[in-house]
Amino acid sequence: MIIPIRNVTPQRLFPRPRFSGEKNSTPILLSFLILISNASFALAQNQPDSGTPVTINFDELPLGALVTNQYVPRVYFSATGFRAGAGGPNGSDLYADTYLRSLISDINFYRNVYHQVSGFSDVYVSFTVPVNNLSFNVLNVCHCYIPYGSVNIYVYTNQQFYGGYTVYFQHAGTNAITFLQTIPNITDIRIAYPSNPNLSGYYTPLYYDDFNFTPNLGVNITSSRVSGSLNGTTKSALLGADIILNAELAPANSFTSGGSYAWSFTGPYSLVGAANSSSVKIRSTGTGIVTAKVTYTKNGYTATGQMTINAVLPSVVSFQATQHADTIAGPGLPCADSDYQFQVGCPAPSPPPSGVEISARLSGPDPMISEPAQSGVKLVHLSSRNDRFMLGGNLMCAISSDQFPSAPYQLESDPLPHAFHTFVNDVFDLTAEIDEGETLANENEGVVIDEQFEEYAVYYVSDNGSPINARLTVTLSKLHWNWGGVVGFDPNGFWNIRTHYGPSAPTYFIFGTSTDSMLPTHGELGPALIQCPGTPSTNYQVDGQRFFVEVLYSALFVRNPDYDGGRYWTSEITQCLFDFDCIHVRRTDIAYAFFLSPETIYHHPELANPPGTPGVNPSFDDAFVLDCYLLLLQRDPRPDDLAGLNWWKSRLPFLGYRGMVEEFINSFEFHEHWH
Amino acid sequence: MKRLKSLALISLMLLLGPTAAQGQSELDRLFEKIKTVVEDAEPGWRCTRGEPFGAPTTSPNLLIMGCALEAQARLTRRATHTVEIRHVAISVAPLQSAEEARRFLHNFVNERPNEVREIRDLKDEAYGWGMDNANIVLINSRFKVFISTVAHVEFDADAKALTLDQKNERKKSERLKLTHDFAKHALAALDSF
Repeated sequence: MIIPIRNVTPQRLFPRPRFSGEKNSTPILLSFLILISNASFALAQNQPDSGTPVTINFDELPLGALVTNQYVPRVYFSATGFRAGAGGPNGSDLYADTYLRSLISDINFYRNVYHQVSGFSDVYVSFTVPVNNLSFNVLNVCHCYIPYGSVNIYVYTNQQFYGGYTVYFQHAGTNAITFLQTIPNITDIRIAYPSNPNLSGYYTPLYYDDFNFTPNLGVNITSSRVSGSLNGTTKSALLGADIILNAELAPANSFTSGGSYAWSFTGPYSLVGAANSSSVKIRSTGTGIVTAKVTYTKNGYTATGQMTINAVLPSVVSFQATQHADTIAGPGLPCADSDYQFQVGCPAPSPPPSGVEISARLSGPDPMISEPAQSGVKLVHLSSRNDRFMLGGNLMCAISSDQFPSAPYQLESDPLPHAFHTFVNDVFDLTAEIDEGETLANENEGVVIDEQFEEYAVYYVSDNGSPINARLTVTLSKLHWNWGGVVGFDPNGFWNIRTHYGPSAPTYFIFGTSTDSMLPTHGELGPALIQCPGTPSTNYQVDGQRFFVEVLYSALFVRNPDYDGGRYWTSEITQCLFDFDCIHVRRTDIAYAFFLSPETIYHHPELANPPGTPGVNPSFDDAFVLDCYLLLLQRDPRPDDLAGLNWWKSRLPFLGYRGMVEEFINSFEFHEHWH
Repeated sequence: MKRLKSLALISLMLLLGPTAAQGQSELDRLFEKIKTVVEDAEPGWRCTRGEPFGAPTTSPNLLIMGCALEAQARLTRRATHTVEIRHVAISVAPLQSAEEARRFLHNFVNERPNEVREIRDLKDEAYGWGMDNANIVLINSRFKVFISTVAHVEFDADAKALTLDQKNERKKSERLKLTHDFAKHALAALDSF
């Protein structure tokens, strides 16, 4: 039977070091500390709001063990007017058991907390953290009078008086005190006014043992990124980004101030800063599982919180590109431009479709406990160029890098990528447009564009979210495509695409493939053009076909080329593309054709009526050679260079008229003059 | 190839004896003189010497040289290179006498009376001929001089903004101006030669 005591004045029961300023009603406090095994305090995986159940069983003490103060500050046991072992073999020494009984072999009995029965001596039990589920046993209840004896129990929760109860023993021997289990956050109990008379009317000592309680001490791992306790949960984080974990104590009251924290981790991680405060920062160093554990220690009690972090990379939801058909753009063409260009699609200012449109959708974990603003994805562009240009009579080869001519691929998007985005949201889109194109410049006579491209979606981590100087990069996915073709300036006087190296379909889709590696690159993309190995080189612009035709117009027709005529005669040569022999033949043919044209004869009547025509001009041959000097070299060889003039006249029967023109247009002086 | 030709010329000069050697020496000095005058007067211009297109066994007594102004031009989307944007070709032939020079010039003019234009401010006599009469033939004492200009206006910075007609007009004006300017330079060099 338990009867609440209503008239008990709330008060602190006994002083403890941290409450030293408080007064105590008892004149003398004699504390004795009870040895308990460490096993008695073993803690299991903690729930956020409770510690591990504790059992204090004095039977485990060695018989006759001297009790010292080594148990402070876990639990204080104290008694007023305590007379340990009075009349026992060890006098007044403080032993766990000093009361001599006839059944000495019952060591459990002997090692219980003994209270000298006096009717007024109290036993105090004070917990340094609030406890729940408190119970204990009262032993040695006399088998004498009925009703049996009783004891008063005063209960304090959170250091405030909660209530007093009189417990009437129900039977002799051991009586369990269990009603305290329903009272949470008990910090102190006072066991007072024991009544346990024997048949002779003397009080018989009561013993207290088997204190069971659960320290109400817990620690929760939390993150500002998600709500609630993370204990026992698995949360995702992006690889390499800061993960800030906090330890929050439970219950959050004055008892949980102070104490110490110790964080420990397993798995691929690195610690940023200290691991001995309530907050800790880590980064995952690889994908996979990282376990985080925090241990909070106070007054010898320990609470732990543990969670699991799944370090992951962003998911590539989609990664694809749309490549539009190759186009010749230029003035007056449907794909308008100020210059002639060979390009992908029809970029601005022309209407869509445009070049290569890249789109990527990335997804991060939701929720994520890593700092999202440190993680991002960027699009990186690599190029491998195998372009060739017939430029002014030179066949030039493009190389990707000036410094590393043999490097196959170069970064084309450095230092800034084509696009980048941090994980402000868990899902975002990246888009980029690549306007691949090559100028068909004045000197371009034939072009081979053969370019391989790789576009990578690269996960990066940096302190400020910038893709520059990222501390971690991981390739997620790539697109690969080929662009180019053979473009010739053809006899119709226009640039024409002869061969597509990329797809010729109006629209072509390129899909990403997963990869964790990027092709090696060296340096920055260089603008270099080098003379293609094994090909002749020239510094004379007259070796370029446009200017060569312009020279013929100027020298023989005494005017500038008209638009169509200039393009036509130029294209008659440039259709040879990269065939130097073909070019040589065409140049000679066309130069000779200019000599025979009516417009030349109009300006130079002496070139009319060549041999084999009616009314043949008998001095045609002399005039022809002289005009080669006058028109092609723009000088009169007379009278200072008669030897030369006569030499070439003598050679005419062997060379023929075309051969004579061929000699002059390939002479050093012709090149020097027109340059 | 150029070196081989030079060696051949040197060998030929040794075979032909002192007269040819004297001629070459005169052409050398003439080239240096004109080069100096031009490069002093026209900053950025550079003159080089060429080789006449003659018979394989003889070398004409003729100075072929060219002066050029260079600039960077874009060849492809990424590549640029150095190109000559203006080029003036000069040939100078020392004749036997001033009379022979005059005779040559008169013959030259008489053969194409409708295609030449007299230029009065270039002594001794000068005529424009060829396209736009932008080529100049002149005589100075016993020297016979041909000068003509190529203007690659396609490489001018503002070329993109020009129409074809505008480009042709600029070519014409550049040729007229530069040829005339360089004729004066050549005359200045010959006067002090």
